Amino acid sequence: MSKSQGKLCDFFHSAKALGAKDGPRSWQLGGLYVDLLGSLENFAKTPLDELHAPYGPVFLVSPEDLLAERVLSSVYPHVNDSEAACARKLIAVALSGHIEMNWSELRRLAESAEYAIMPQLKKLVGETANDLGKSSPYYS
Amino acid sequence: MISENPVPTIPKGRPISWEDWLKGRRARRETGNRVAPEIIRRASSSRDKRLRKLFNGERGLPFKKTEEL
Repeated sequence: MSKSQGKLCDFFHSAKALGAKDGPRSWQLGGLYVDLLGSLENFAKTPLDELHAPYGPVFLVSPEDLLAERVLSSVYPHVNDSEAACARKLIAVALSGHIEMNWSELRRLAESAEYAIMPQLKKLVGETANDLGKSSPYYS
Repeated sequence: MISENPVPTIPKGRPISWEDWLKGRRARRETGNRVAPEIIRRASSSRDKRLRKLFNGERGLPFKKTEEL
């Protein structure tokens, strides 16, 4: 058994001891679903955000990765207004300074072959900035 | 220097405390609501049966009211 498989077994035992149901990928624990996923698929060079929560640190996918993914989901595989609305909310929060966004890194991601969504990103950021009466970081 | 923005920013490269995270929740919610509908949870998906069974007929946990944040 590999080291990672051993850790997974430890988790399964702990989850069962806490009364978790289902598994092995999706668990119901304390009224919530907990999904066990593989390696984190992120492309941003910016670090994960870190929240010091009451029971320990929680690492959050960087906002650049989240936004690039959401903008992609708003147009692929088909236009999705709900995904676009979600992207707008994150853009608004970033433009308002409630979360640090590295706009240069986001541009790099949006222009990469993995995402290729720079026109859509530029449009959404521009529209959201206009709604808030702010300037877009992609228009100088 | 006194910050013009009293809402704690989620920083990059250093942790945010739980207290600061909570302090910013309302502002983040209200800002988002200025540019998109308040609730953007998907109306349905292939997981509907499972989710609605778990969350009393809804597809997820109830949203806390903005004024309670």
